[in-house]
Amino acid sequence: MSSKLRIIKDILWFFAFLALIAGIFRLWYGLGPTTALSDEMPWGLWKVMNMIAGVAISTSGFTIGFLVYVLKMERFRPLVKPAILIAFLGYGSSCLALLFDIGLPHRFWHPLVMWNEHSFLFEVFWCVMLYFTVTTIELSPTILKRFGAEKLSHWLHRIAFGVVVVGITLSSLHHSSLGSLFLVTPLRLHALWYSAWLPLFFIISAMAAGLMFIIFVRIAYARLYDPDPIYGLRMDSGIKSNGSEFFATPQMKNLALLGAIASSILGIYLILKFVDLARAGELMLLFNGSWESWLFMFELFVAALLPIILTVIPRVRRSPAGLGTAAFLASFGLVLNRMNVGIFGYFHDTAQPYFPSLAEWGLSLGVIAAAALVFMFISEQFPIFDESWRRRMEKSDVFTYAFDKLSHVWNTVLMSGLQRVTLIAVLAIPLAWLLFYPPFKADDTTDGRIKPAIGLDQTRTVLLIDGNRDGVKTEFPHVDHQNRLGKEQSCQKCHHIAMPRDNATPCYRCHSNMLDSAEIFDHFGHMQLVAEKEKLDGLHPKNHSCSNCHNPALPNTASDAKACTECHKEDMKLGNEPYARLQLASASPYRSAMHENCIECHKKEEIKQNKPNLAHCSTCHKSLEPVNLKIAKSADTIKALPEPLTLAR
Amino acid sequence: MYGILVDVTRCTGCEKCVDACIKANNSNYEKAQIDSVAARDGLSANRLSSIIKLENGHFARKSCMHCLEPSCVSACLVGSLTKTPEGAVVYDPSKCIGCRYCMLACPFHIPRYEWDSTHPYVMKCAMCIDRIQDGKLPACVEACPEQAMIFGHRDELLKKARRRIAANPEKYINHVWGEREFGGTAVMYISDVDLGKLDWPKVPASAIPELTEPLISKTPVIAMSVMGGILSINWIIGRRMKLAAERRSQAENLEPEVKKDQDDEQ
Amino acid sequence: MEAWIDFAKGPLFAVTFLIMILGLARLLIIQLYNLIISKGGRLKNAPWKSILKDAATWFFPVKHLIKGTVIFSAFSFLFHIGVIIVPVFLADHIVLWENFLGANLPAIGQGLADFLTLFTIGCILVLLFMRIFVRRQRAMSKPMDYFLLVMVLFPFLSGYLASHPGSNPFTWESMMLVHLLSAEFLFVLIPFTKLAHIVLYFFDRISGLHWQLRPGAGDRVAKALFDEEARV
Repeated sequence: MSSKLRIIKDILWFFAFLALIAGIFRLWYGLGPTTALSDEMPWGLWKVMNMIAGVAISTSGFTIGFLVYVLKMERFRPLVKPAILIAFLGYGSSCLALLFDIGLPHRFWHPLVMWNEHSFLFEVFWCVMLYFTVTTIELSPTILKRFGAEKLSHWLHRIAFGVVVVGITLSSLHHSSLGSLFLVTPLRLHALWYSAWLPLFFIISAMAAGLMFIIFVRIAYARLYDPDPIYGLRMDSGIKSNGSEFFATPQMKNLALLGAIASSILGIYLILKFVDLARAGELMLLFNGSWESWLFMFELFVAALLPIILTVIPRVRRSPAGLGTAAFLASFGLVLNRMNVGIFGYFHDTAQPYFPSLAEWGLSLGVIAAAALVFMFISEQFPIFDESWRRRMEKSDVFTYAFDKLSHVWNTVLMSGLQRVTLIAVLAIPLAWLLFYPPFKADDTTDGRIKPAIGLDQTRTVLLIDGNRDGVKTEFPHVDHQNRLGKEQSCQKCHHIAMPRDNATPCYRCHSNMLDSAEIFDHFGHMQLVAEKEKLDGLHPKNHSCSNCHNPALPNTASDAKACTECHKEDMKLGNEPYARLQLASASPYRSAMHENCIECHKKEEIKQNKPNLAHCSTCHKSLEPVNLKIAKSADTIKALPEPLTLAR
Repeated sequence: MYGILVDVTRCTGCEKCVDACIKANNSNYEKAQIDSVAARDGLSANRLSSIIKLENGHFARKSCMHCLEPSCVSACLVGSLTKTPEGAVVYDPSKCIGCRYCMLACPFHIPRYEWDSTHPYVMKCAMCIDRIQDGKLPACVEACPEQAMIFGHRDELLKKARRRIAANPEKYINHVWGEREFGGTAVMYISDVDLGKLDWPKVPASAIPELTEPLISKTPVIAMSVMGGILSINWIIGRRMKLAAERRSQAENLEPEVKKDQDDEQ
Repeated sequence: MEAWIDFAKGPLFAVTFLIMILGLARLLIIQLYNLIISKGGRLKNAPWKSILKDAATWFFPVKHLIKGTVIFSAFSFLFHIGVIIVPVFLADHIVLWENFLGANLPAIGQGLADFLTLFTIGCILVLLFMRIFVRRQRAMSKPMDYFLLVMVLFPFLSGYLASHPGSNPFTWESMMLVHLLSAEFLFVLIPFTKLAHIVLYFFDRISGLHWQLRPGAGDRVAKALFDEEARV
């Protein structure tokens, strides 16, 4: 095994382990804590990238089958087995990711017995399931032959044509139905991507990109496994040193032909896209400068235009690097298109853009990595890529005795990789834990504003809170506040105006001014009082009283309410405070506390410095008028004005 | 076929209906309080109805519109959502697999998911179908102190709405939201302000199942024609190749290998 | 600083601890696998008696105390006592175990803990001293041995200073951070260095030389080959 291959496998294993942990967390903690999905974006990365794009990119199973079995283009026969393997793993990995995506995975079989034939998703489910069975049947002769089940595999070979026909039919149904899934969102999906022709676009682009993907896989596989240009594909530029002659091998020529077929389908797709936009009168949307229009143009450029241009040039088409680039671009473009239709096209309709969580990325990429590993394993152990496999078999006898005894299979497969793979696991699993563990994530979302004050009080009656949102934590005696404000019933007094992702009312809501009420405005009591006073009739007089204080046109916050003094003109005079009269006794502790802090010291200094007015009300308060009573002079102004005090003497 | 008529001019936004809804659905009150600010429209799995603030101090109740041709019902692949004869769109949690296609399909963004649960279900208003079957009013309608909502047969409600608009033409906008939008809904609105905030379409849109139904009903035809097409193409090509082979064997001087290579060159 | 301490106390602790557990489990699996593959059929006939005897000899190194490297053996034995007891049973650490593992362990008293910590620090210093200045110990030491000893010294020293503000020339936060980070670094080192002997100790006895040779055979070979005092 070359070192390049080994490093690639290590990376794939790494992602596979990430996916393992992400999957476990998903099952253990549920969708909410592990994913970024929300009620606004119910479908995310797993469904759109793994399922819809993953299935679309595995179309090669049916397109190559169509070319070889129906159109009898025998030159593509060597690609049949790889195509089937890609389809099998593509569909398998998609279904695996989908199992983690659906809310109740243990009910995945429900559509088998509970039918709703009006649903496109129902059609997709059945077709995908049946097609997965078809690919299994198509793949099994290759596998079974190695285990000596000659008879069964021969029998399976005989029904191959029938199976292929069924497979093509199922594919053409569900690839278009995947597009039809989005027909139900005419008002939510961006107009550039929404179209009545979505099913047509989906199947055409999937056919083209599926062919491109198998070209990409074949070239990448050759580069990794068959560096020998005589049997496989030519890995140099394909041009002789004098630059005049092509040396494409017959296999390369076949691939180039396949690329030409794929890009001609892409050309039809490109034309249809613009015809559709023109038909709907939405061509101008392309040039309105929104990010969606740029994304749309980029998508078409990468997915269709650039691959077409690359494959039209014969020299590029026949060089593995050129064709590989075109194939990769087209495959990537297909995934981008599905992401646009399934995710980005909805952003204009949601409050905040959806960005997949790390766990979502981990599981998505990890499932794909696992599929790639299985692909490598099967292609190494079974004759998928005929020539290269046969050559490897001739070169070494490792694989010949690998299946003689079970112990030897495990020996060759496990022993070579055990140490490396377990090492990767030891590194990947803790990293996955750090990145995906939902409780770690939950800490971020609350901004750590509230913490139990460990060390100060183990019973957690004292919290460290960043109440004023200024990054400074203060000790907050929670139980004490609770007791003073009225036990359990009092929670809403601080917590009911909580803002999203916030835990409670900021301190300054109550403690902004030392003479302000240290209690949230007693709505209920006021409503009752006003209702009694005004003798309002109707079913629920309490509800009519809102407009007595609040401006009904405004959002009913403290700022649009009447000032307290408008009703409590008499009450606001000194010694006649509402809390004294109503015995609410709410602000008094705080007021007296503040007064004590200041006045006690002022009294002392009064004697010390011989300034008799220092402890007088007017030293701090502008006047004793109710309106001005709240506004205390700041300590600085008092210090700056020593003269009037001495004069008063 | 029952329905609810919401008169936006009467709603004071007191949220009594929301409280009643939370109580009637046995939702978690504290979670509902948190969700009321967390979600853009105040709807969540714990809060199946909410009050939306409109311009000029107007309020409107938002909840399931109970479409006459519901998109969610046609979208659900296991038939977990159904339209009852009473007119309510109800959800059967025992069938649901959690694919959330109904949430994508609903033009009003109504179905909500229990994201925090490990055994999550879709939550949506069922028009208090149990209460209706017991002969009672839906909880929200019963709780409304202003009678901003009235419950009754849809046809009668529609007539009533028309009568109200006719009696007060300068106050109301001459439009009954829900009469024709998305094929008609059981919950209808009359108002003196625009209701775009409740996801009503600006131009009356047709029922969403009408977009998919014609296509999906043709599935067997498409399948049959694809299969027939494949077989006939295969037969034609097979026959042509056979004839070509016969012709070649008659000529007998052309190597098939060479021919193939020439094809490759193109 | 506070945020860093929280991070080191929470996620980083969990992750590095997980690396240690998984890494050690990996070593065990590989050892077990190799053992079964290489000696599978013959495990029944393993010289269990001599394996156990040898394990016990190293556990209670009376024999080594009597002959050979007396001081070094004694200090390394005493060092292991402190190094096991203090991190696991210290009262402040019990909270950590409870938070992460839910385990409720008995705690040792503060006085004993202080004594054991200082004692362990002393042992480390002595061992370090001997590895540097005593010819025989220097000969058998690799750079890694010095490095690991210093790394073990860090958490003990910083932990002691953090819990005794009187004798701490630095701030509590900085000491705590050094304590946490060095301990976590040690967690990561364990499965990849010779510190792995905390689990491999037993395996080495089973899969080691004792299949063929009697315990203490190396001494005899050395005795025959070189002078009487030499050890292998």
